[in-house]
Amino acid sequence: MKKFYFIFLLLSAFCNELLYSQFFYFGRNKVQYTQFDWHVLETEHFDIYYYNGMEELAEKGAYFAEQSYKNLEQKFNHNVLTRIPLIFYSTHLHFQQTNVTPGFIPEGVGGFFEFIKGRVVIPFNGSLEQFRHVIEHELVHVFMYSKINSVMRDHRVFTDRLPPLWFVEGIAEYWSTDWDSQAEMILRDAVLNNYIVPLDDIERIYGTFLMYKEGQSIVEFIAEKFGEEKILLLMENFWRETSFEKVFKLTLGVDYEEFDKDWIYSLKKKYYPILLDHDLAGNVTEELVIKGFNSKPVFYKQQNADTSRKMYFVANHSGYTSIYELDLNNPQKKPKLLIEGERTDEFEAFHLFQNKLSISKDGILIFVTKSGENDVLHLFDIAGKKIIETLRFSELVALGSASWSPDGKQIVISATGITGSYDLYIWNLDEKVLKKLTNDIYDDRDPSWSPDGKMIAFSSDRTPFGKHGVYNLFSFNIETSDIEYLTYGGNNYYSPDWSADGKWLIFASDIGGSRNIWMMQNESKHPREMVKITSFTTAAFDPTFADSSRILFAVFENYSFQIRTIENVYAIYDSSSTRRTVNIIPFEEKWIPKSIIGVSETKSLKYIDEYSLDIAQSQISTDPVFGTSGGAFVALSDLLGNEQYYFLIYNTAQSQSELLNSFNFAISRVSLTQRTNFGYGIFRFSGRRYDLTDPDYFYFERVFGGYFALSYPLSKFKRIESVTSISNSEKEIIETIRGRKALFLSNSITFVHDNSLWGPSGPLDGSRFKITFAYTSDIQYSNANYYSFIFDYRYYIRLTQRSAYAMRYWLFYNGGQEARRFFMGGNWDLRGYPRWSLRGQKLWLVSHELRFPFIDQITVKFPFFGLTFAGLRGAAFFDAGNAWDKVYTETLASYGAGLRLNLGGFLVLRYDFGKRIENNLTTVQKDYFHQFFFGWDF
Amino acid sequence: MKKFKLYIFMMCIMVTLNSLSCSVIKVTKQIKPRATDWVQYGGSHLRTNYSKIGLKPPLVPVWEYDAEAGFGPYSVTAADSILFVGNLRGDLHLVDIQSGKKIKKQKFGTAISGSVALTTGSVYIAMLNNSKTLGKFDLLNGKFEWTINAGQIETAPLLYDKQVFVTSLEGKLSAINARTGILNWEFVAAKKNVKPMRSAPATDGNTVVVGSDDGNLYAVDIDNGNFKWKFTTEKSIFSSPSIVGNAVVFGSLDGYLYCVNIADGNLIWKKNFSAPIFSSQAVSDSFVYAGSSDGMLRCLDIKDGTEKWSFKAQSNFYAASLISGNILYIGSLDKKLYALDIHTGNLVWSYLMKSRIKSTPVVWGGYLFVLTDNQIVTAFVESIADRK
Repeated sequence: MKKFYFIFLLLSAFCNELLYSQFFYFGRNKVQYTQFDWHVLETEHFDIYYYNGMEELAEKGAYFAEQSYKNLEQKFNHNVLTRIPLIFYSTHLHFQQTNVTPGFIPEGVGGFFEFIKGRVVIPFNGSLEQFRHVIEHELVHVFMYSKINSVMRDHRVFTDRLPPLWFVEGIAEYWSTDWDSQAEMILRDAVLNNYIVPLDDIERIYGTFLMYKEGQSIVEFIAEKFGEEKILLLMENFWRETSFEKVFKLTLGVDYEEFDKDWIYSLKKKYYPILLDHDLAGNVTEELVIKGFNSKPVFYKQQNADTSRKMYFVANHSGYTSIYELDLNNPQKKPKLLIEGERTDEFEAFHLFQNKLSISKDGILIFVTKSGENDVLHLFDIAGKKIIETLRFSELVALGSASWSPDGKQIVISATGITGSYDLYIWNLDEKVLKKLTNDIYDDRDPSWSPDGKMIAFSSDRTPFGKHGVYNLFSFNIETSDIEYLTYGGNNYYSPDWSADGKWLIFASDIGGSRNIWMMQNESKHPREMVKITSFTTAAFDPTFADSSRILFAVFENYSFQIRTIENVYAIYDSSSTRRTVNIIPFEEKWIPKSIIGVSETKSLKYIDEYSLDIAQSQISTDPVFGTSGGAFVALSDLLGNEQYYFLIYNTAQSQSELLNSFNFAISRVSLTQRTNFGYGIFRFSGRRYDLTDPDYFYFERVFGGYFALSYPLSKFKRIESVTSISNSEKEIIETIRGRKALFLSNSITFVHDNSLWGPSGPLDGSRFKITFAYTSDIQYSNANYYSFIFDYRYYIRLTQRSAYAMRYWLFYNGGQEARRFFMGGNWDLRGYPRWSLRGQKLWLVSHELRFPFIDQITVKFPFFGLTFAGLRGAAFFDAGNAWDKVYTETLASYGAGLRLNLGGFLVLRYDFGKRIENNLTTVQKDYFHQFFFGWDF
Repeated sequence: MKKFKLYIFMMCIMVTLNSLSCSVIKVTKQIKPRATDWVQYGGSHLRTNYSKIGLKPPLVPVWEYDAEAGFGPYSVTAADSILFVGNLRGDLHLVDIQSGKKIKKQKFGTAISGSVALTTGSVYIAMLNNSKTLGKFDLLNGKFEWTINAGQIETAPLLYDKQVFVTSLEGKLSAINARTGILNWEFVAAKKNVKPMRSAPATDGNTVVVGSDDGNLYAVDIDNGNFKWKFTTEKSIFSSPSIVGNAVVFGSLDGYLYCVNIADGNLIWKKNFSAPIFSSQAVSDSFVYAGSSDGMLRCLDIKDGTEKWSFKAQSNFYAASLISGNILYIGSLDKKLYALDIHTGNLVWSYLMKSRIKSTPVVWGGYLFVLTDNQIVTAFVESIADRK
């Protein structure tokens, strides 16, 4: 249920890693850097949660929400009876800290609807129209969920399903926004490059941006051809069939295949004629970088060097967004990685597609990254290949594009503080002063300082057309602070860039439906004339002048973002037949967004009276050894997800007499409000246990006690954890008269590092590290007293886009009285040996593994259905290690190969075969071992 | 283990007894509808939603009945102190109006979207997703006298003279002999790309009018189903037409309320409601009362469409209003039952129900029945004292 921005195209490929790593042994950290002072704005249908500093934004959001509600109430012929919680964040950086969802939020996510508690969480990205769009998009989800629930309840049909994602997102887009140039770009590209995915097969692109836009196109086509009421009827008929495909057929009278014929034919009819006067960029321009996702090119030529010609750009070629350098004299050579991002605290995130680069005449490259709580601006010396300064602005949260002044002494930057509105600022490097140029709710972006230093061109929605999300170009006069129109009209104009002599301005515009490159002369006469330079079928972005008459730009083609170049741009300007006159009507008022001043109140952070259910589960399980047990688990949290309670209760009694003695319960409280997360709780566990020691034995144990845990994230990639627990343990060994009583006090401290990047079966890049020290003692009976040391290091070397060499080093050490034993053996560690067959208080392990793609897709077609298995990965490995108590016996090892299959993104099946090497690596097993299990690669 | 087996056995017995007691509707008396009874949707073949019984607010709820599933917009019918409640699970409940207790219930189709039509001793039930979708059910012997497949029906049947008329999702208007169940005639609006009909038909005795998803209001001859005329709107017509004099009034999803001449289909007037009209309307001799999906209710002069007054609720009007004497009763998705003065539009009284109101209120005897989204039928009376 997420509204994705444009950059989802890229991020969808890599977000798996972010989500999964959170829950496993290592994991990155969602850091609560900011202490939000939450308020609630109550309107007719909404409780709007916002924090200090963003009051104006909350009131505008409230207006959009109520307007959207009225609109959707009519469209759905339905209302939502409960008040809808809307949680606003003024920037995406703050949004990424939300605890409403436990997972990481990639930069491409523009908001989400969480349907357990019906919460809608939305960040502001600077554009009020985009804010309105996302609010309405998410409210479509709220209405749809409520409507379908109502329909199913009316007919007493169990609500165990929702429509498919293409419909859920398609209708959300269709009913929240118009078909725009971005949607046009995606569909045109898909049709003209022949990768449009039919509805019958749309699950193949599940969750991608293409699916969102195809969904929107499909819903729009349904409305046009079959009538808009059919969209509503698809929901009202939802109870009548067991699958949405049947509901579709019942409602529209055609099945997916029949629908596809008409829909795809209509797309071809619409888009094929475009080729008459437009071109695929790949056919008419020179390629520079076409692999991966590339954006924001900037040209640099060293002042005293005649021949050196370089292009710098932001790209994601490996999963980490970084800055690359391309030698334009040898453009066929592979781009060099200049600054590797998203692996360290310093460059935690590059905002791909958002922040332009700029290089001063002295060769200082400026670029923006997220670093810690906020964005920072780095000054990078290209010649010295080092960061010379990092600018951190206390009052600014998120930074947009930056541009050097021609003398290299000042930087203009688009940025926002806690209010969420992007304004223009100038930073003076000598005086260390930040000066605000604009100060309003309009979205000022992409500043570009003119070569004469007199003006700054930028893109903004400060026009009468701004209410439709339209951006025009403006100039800011440095001397007078006057803002003047450069373009004017209902089309979008973005990314202005000056020629070196300052006589020309080049920019992107979606005049005519697709975004292309336009140019105009910088002259004071009115009306100005602008000329179309490119006529691409899809879209061009971020044009910038290189040397002589060459321009560089990014282009979307074949579902990738490429960087291309055109020569003789002035000749094209002269010969172009598409020219437009800029008619400015200055007396028209700017757009003034409306607000709702609702009833506002401050609530405490803890929302003590607003805890509500997250999960409630009860279960009865039967085990052949331990018998039947039953229990329940309940989780509660506040509306913001900051404070959580967990309750667990179950009983393992095998007879009535054991009933009272066999109650197990645990109560925990976890607080994620502050940067230091903590949890504490009490527990009582009682029942029969099985100890995998030598010899194995059954025992009955009663344990009760409490614990306190702390986790302090040093950054997204590093944290320190500490746990203290005290527990009383009584152990009765079954079939003997032995017993043991102890009062354990246990303390541990751990350092965790993780910047790994995941593929379908496990990490492919980065590293993971964990070191733990722990000490446990029986403070009453002195029956146990031991310490632990755990060292775990994993390193991944990316070989190609989808293959890697992985290494793992373990050293586990327990020492002292009644020290616990470690277990090893099986698919997860020392392969080739039976699961947990190696036991000892000390353990070491080394693993080396080559991971590579094996088969991307296998489809088995039966007469009535087909089965598709995708993403079969291969591995070749070597493991060595052993576990021991007092005397080290021998070194064991194994080598072999294996296959991994990711099922549904949450389960990896593993098959390994190979040979053991025993007796201190002297004896190789004659036969092959075979092991089959599940689990992610280390 | 023994206890468990006994428990399972008792559960089986209870389920069996329960199903036996409710499986077949049989009544012990011959139900004879009278002129004041609400025998079909809209109160009559004109679909006016007009009742001569004037129930004066404030009203008080006297009982609630759990119908176990939701309701369509066509509400209930009532005669001889029995309330006939069809629900969207396909059950028909017979409820004693005096006590609010269940008399019988029986499952028919997968959904009964429209209210049943009553005649002496029998009900005409229109159903969805059955092989036989329309039937005349004898209440005395608990059996269908006849059944017929008239297409998938999501609307209320129209009973007039000796015929039953139904519309179907297959886009057909069918006229069936009410006594024998034999199809008299069938009208299909188009040969290709036939659109469903979700509008319940109405008739003045000569012409049957009905709206269609294709945006047309069709008029056909009542005797032979021959096409007479059609009136085209911009979007689908979900509302059921009402007839008063020579005027047919209906709303469209294009946001207009239309009044056309029943003789030739010529437009008399139209009124822009600026929001889709899903619901039907109530009409008196002089005025039409129609609500729209923006929560606006308008009273218009039947002659020229002039707006006399308007009323704004907090949410959509999903179903038609009901004229009861000088009071207009209407429910909204905002959970409120409103009682308005039909002359001024002034709010006389309102009552907050427990859930959304998506059906037209119905008056019978001294009772007002309101159906809510939480699957409950609530009966109101003027006051406890009056009832006694």
